[in-house]
Amino acid sequence: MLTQVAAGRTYDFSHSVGRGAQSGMGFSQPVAAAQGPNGVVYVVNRGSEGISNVSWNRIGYGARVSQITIGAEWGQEEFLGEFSKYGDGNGEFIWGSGVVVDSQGRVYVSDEWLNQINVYDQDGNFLSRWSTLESDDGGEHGTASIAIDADDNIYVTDGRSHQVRKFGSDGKFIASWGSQGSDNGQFNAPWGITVDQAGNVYVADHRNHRVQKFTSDGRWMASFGSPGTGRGQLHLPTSVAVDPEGDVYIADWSDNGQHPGRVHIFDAEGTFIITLIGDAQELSAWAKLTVDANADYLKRRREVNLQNMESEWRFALPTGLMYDADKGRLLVVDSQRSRFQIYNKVTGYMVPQMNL
Amino acid sequence: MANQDIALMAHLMRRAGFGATREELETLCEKGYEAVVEELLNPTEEPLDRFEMMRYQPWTWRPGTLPGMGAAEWLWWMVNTRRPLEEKMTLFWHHIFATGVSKVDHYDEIQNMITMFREKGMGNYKDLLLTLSMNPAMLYWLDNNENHADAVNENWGRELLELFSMGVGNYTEVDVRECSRAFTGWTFEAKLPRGPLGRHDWRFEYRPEDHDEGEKTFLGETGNFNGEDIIDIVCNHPATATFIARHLYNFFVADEAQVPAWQVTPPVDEDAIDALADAFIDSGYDIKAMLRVLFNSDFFKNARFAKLKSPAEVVVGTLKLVGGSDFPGPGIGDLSRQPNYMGQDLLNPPSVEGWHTGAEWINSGSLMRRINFTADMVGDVSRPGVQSIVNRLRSQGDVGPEQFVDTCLDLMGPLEVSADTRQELLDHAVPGGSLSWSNEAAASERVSELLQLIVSLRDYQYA
Repeated sequence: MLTQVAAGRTYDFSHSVGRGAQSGMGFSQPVAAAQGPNGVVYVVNRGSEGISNVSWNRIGYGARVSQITIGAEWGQEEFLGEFSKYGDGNGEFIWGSGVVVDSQGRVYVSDEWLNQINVYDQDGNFLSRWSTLESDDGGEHGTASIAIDADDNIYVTDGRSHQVRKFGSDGKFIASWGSQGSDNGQFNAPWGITVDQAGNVYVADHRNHRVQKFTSDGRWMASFGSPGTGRGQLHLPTSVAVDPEGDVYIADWSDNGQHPGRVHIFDAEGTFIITLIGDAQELSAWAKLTVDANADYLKRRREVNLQNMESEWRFALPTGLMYDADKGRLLVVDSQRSRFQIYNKVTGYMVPQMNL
Repeated sequence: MANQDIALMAHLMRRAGFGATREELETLCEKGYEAVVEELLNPTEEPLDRFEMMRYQPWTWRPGTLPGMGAAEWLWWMVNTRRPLEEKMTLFWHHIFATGVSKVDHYDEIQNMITMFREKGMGNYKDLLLTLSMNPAMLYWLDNNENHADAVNENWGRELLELFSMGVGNYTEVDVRECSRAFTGWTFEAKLPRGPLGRHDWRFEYRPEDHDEGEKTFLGETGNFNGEDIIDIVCNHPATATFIARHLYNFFVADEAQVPAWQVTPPVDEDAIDALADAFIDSGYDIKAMLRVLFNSDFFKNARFAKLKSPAEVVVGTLKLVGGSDFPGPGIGDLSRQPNYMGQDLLNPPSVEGWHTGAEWINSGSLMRRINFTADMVGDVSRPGVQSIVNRLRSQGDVGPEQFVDTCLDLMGPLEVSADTRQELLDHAVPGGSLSWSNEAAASERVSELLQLIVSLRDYQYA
C-alpha cells in the first residue's frame, strides 16, 4: 500500500532515491544518514572489501560519505559531493557505522572497527578524530551507531561491549551504561540510537529484539516491542527514530520473504500503530538513468511477472532511519538496495469513500 | 589419554570436518569414537546465524553480493560451524554438482544452492537430486532453460547421467536424448536484472506447455516420463549407488582416480565401494546411512594421511587450528580468496566436472601459496590457537630438541611424519639447544619458527 492510514496518522510513500554505485550518484551498502543545514543529507556508505593480492593493502570499495539533497518529490534529488574513504588515516574509516550533524553544522561519523569518531566541517573537510574507548577498556568493542542531543552531546552504542556511551562534542567521556543481558537497561548487541526532542535516548537492542528508552543520564524508562515476526513484533531491530509528535519508528530485519525488512511505528506510549514494508514501485531517478541506458535491462524488466517485481519494491535489510522534522517525512535507509525510501507523514489527509 | 585415540579422532575430524583443536579432540575422545560419529551425523548444535555476518559485512550476501568475493560468507561458515560434517558434505556436493559463477554470474543463486546442500546434503539422495533439478542456478548452468519440447537441449540431461548419478558407460546416447526430453519445460521465471538496485532471486518454473508429453524409452523402461520419473529410474540403477560410493570414498577416505578414468580404472578398494553402495541401496538412497558405514569402517580408520588436502581444507583447517576467525572482521574477503590462489575458486569450479583432486591440486604455484598462507597463519603467535600450542609447550618446562619437535608434531595433528622428515626438523631444532622458557619471547619465537617449518612439510598437505 502506498498510503496507510491508522490511528489518526497517514503515511504516504513519496519516492525513492539512489542506486548501487561505488562513487557519485548512488550508494554502496549505505547504513546511516543525517541531515545538516540547507537540507544537505550525509550518507555513510559501508562499502565492501575489494580483492587484493597483498594483505597489507586491503581495499574498501565504495566506503565514503555522500552529500545529497532528497528533494520534495521524484527526480528532485541532487548529488552534491562525497568525502572520506576506506582507511585508518585522519578522516578515513574502516567500517562507517553512523553519522550526526551538530548545531554548528559539523559532521560526526562513527567507525565500528577503529572505534573512533571522525569530525568534519559541513563541506567534508577533516577537523579532528577521537576514540570512543577509554584507556582502561578491555575486551571487544564496536561503535555501532551515533546520536546527538540539542546540547551537542554525543551518544554511541557499542554493540560488542553492550553499552551506551555519552561524550561531549569534543570527545570528552561523560557517562556510560548497560551490560550484556536481557533485563531492563541491559543490552544484547545494541545498534541504532536516537535522541528525542525531550532529550530521551532510544536504543535498538538488536539481539534482544526490542527498543529501550532512557533518560539522558541512562535511567531506564520504557521498552518497545516484543520478540517475534508478527504485527508490532520486532526481530533484529537495527535503527530507531522519533518524530516531534513522539511517534517512534523502528527498522528491523523481520523476514518478509526473499529480503527481510520492516519499519514499525509505535506511538509515544509504545502502542503499535502500523508497519511499512517498502513501496518503491517506481525506480528512483538515478536508477532509471541506469536502466534507460541499457536496452537489455529495459527488455528484461518488461518480461518480469508481478511477483518477481515485488522484490524490488520492498525493503532489503534496512539499517538506518532519519526523521526529517522540517518536511515531516521519514527516510528509510534501504541498505541492501543502496537507496532511500521516503514516506511523508501527511496531516489533514481526507480518506476517500470506501464505496468508490 | 592414548595417543592413538587422539590420532584417530583427529583423523575423523579432519575428514568429517575441517579439523579440531587439541582441546576439542580431548573432549571428543572422552565421548568415544562411535558416539562422535553419531553426533556428526545428527548434529544438535544450532546452525550459524547468517545475520551475524550480515551485521558486519553486508556485502557478503544477497542482494548486495559483489563479484569475486562471494565465497566470504561460506568461508566464515566453514570455519565457525558447530556442525562440521554437515558443512563438509556441503563442500562435497559442491564438488559433485559443480556450478560456477563464471557462467551463472549470480553469487547469491549459487549461495542458495550451497544452503540447499547444507539442508539436504546428509538426507535422501533422490530428494537432493530432485531439488537440484529444480535449482535455477543449475538449470541455467546446464542450459535447461533452453530445453524445449520442440527443441531439445541435452546439456542437463547428459550431465545428470554422466556426472551427477551413474557415470559414463551405463547409458546410451538415446538415453541422454530421452532423459532430456523428460526435463523439457523445467526452467525458471524471468527475474529483474542485477542493476541498478542489486540482485534478485530466480524462481523455478515448470511450463507444461513446453514439456514433451510424448512417450519416452529410458534405460529400458517406457512411458510418458517427466523429470521425476527419470530420477526414480536413475536412483534405482545400481551404477548410481557405485558412482556415489566412489565419490564419497575419494572425498573422505583416500585419493582415487579422477572421474573421467572411472570407466577404465577400478576402485582402489572395491570392497569398500561395495559396502557403501549396499548402504545406499538398503537404506533407500540415504546418504547418512552411507556415511555411518564409511566412518565406522576399518578402511576409513586405516586411511590416515591418505588424502591430499583440498585448498578449502588447507585454508579452513589452518584457520581453525590457529583460531581467531570467529568474528567476521575486516579481511574476510581476502581470506575467502585464498583457496582460489591455491587452485580452488569456491562457487566457481572450472567446469561441471568440478575440481580434479589428489595430486592434481599441487603445482609449483599452488604449493607455494599453500606454504605461504599456512606459515603466515601459524607464525602469528597472537592467534589463540598458536598461543594454546605455546602454552602447552610452556607447561612442559624446558625440553630438549627431540621433545620440542615431537610435541609440536603432536599438537599440530597429531601429524605423522617419516623418519627423514623428523630428522630434518631435528636438524633445525638441535642447533638452538633445549627450548628454554627463561626468555619467553625467544621461546615463543622458536615455537613459531618450528610450526612454520612443519606446515611447509609435504606431510602437512595430507589429511
